[in-house]
Amino acid sequence: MPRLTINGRTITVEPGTTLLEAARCAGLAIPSLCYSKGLPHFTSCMVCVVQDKATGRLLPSCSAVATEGMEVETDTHDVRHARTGSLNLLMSEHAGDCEAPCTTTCPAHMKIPLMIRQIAAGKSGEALDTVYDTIALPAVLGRICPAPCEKACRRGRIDAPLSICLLKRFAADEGVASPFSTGQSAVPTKNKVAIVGAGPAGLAAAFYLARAGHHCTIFDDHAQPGGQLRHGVPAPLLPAAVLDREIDHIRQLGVIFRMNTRIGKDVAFQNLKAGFDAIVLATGKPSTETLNSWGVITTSQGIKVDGHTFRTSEENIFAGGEVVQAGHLAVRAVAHGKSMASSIDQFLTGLPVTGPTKRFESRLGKISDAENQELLKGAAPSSRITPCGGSGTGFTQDEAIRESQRCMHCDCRKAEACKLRDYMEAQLTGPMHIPAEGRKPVERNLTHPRIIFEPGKCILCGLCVRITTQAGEKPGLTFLNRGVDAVVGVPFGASLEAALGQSADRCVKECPTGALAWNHS
Amino acid sequence: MIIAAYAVGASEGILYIRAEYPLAIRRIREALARLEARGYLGPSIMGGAFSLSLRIVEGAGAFVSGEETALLASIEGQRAMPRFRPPYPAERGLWGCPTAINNVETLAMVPWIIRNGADRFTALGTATSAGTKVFSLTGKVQRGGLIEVPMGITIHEIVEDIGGGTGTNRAFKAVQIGGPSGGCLPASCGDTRVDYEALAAAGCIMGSGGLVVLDDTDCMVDLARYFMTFTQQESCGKCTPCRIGTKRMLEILEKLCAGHGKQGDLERLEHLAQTTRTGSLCGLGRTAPNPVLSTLRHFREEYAAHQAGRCPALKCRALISYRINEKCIGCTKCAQVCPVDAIDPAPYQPHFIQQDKCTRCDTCKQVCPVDAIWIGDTDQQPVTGAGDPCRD
Repeated sequence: MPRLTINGRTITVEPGTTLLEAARCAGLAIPSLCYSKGLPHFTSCMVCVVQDKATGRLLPSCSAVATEGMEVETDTHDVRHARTGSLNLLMSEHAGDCEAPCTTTCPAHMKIPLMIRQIAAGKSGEALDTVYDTIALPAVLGRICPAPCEKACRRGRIDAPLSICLLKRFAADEGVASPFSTGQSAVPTKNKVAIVGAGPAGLAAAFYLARAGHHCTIFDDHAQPGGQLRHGVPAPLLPAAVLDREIDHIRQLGVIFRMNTRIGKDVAFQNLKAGFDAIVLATGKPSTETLNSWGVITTSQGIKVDGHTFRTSEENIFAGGEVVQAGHLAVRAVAHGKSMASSIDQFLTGLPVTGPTKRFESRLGKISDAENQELLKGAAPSSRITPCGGSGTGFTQDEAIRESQRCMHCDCRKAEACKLRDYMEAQLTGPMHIPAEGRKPVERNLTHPRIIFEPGKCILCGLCVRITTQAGEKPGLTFLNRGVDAVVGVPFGASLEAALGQSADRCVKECPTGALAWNHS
Repeated sequence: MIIAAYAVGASEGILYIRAEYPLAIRRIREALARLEARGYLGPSIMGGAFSLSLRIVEGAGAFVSGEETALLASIEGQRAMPRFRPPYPAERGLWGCPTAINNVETLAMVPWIIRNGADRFTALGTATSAGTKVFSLTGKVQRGGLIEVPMGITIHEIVEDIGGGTGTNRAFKAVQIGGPSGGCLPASCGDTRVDYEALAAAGCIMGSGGLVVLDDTDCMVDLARYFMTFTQQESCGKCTPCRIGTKRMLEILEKLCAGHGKQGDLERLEHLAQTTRTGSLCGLGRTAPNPVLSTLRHFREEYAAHQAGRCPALKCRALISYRINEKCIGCTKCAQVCPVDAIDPAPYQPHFIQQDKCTRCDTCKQVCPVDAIWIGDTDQQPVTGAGDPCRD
């Protein structure tokens, strides 16, 4: 049995064990995009390289077999350079957005296409869960949001953008969310958070903090909560009853509202600092005098915060909404609320305060008209629907479903299950950016009843080719062409359905990117 | 090959020849038939216990099929994609059986060595690279063709003594040695000895035995672009660094030749070359950056000139313009041959070339009886160096 050393640790493995498997035995995870246990190795992605100490050579660990006395390093400069090099090259030709333009444009980063798919499937409850994931006040924003997302919608280039805001309103008004997403199943902690200001930023912070089990008290000098939502929006646009309903919901989560209470007058700021573990400042634009009374560093804009964590110069004081950034966008205030809640939750649980998870995003950038037509495949040709009840009303179920069928689903179905994205995220500090002007064209194959195949996202790892070959699928998938034109395709003009055969599930599961994905997830 | 088969105890042999080389196939087929007829091949050779059958497998042309594991995959009816070694073919080769696989040039040495003895063979060449090497000498050379030279001969000896110099009145500039994935050596390195070690040290390889001689009208960036076009197309597409790295390098080279070079292009090229060289699975990818790396090493100023929109060799069409000087006698010959009518055929009038129409095809220059057509930069200034009318 060969004995080898990996990163200075000596282990003994069965003869024939590959370096990748040996490293895993030693508890070391080696990234790989083309390896799968049980399939013949293929050595294509070259992300799994390790360095042989004796020769300095880089070896693909998925294929190189451990030999007696071998010394291997998995985290040298050369290894990192080679791995990042291969990943950057794969990204340089990757034709796909991780998130759709609507999502990346939305200040709250809402997963809009997912919500739309859920509405289309008649699952308005799940759709509302999706909205709640980023937006604490769905019914309110379903009525007043200026919807920057709709300006980014690629359907707008075809005829008119999706009616995203009204679809969100439909989910909020008609959907029954799960206890988790509404915060009803939260397990209480002992942490107390004071929130100054009952406007959209403060309410959103309270919602997500309460959902995480923290005890929140909101202070506001008005008689009723809502801030600008109550006092700055005309009633026909946002009826008080809708606002009250969402505030009631937050109240039911155990959030205490102390109205008619002005900090610095009725309650001293020092008392907040003494009585609470963390403080949220979401007062809207206050006077300079008030700003100074909080003892945090300010700028001409307002309170100075970290742009991602919303932490002020004081480690337990966070600020968001108009108090840090001018502008009346409620959706941005709500987004700040969620970000503050993420940071405070990290702070209270003793984790490093990094704010909400910021994911690596593959971006297509400008796409051609032909590519836009590719993305249009599968979308209903009907034109944008306006509610039959006239302006100011929402969609009926039928209208919502028909409108949602217009969505082009520009997002990646496997945005959360993509190894390429995960690895890029882990190695964001690549040595050199490779311009992506030579990327593959956007292409969608929807001929399979359940699967979407996007060749532009294929990294030619050959897993699906090997899976279908091993399973004896006729004809299976194969490689076509050479060089950079090499593609995975269906041979002899057969259908994708026939090529994948009984192996379809496994191929989708093992595909390391969104090249093969379930169409309706 | 029969001797090699006897040495390793093989009972079957295959000659893998590209189907695009029908003459080679016809000759080998004829040779095999004659050998069989005389009892040198087949069952019980020359009445002895040793039997050997040889057959031809025609490969559907692919450069990568020269890589041994890809060649074996091709014989097995698979896509010609290399695989990781070990196991080496000697351990697990064709159909999983131990396989001795050699280049025809290597096998051709065997009878000579047996006939004349190893001592006479090692007396040729250098201490580390014994014997001789066959090169295909081409390019700007008076006497081209296949040459067999002792290892250790210098580049200069090959170019001047065997090739007879450039054969033009142009200066010998460089050699590209080792085929599309070989490297370039400048004339100043003409004393480099042709053996494995010296070439490797100079950033070159013996490779496919190609030896292209270049003169000062050859552009090194264009040359790198040309070879990268080839390797990029011939990459099997399997591993990431080779498949995409060669393409990204080619894109940069194409932009440089088209006058669209950008700041940082040379560093990007070097970075990509390094990634492709160290990360690729097989020899094709590992050596594909050689033309880029070696020309960057020896002719970096030419790259910098392209970045600035100039081609010093006056070769890259996007960076040059054709002009007619006062020597013109108005004979209209150039106008008659111009394929795009960029020259007005006014008899006995000095001709001029309409730059927006000219495709820089060089036809006019070739027919001009008084050498009145010269090539300059696109900014209309005659440049010093090759093609300079003042110097001619």
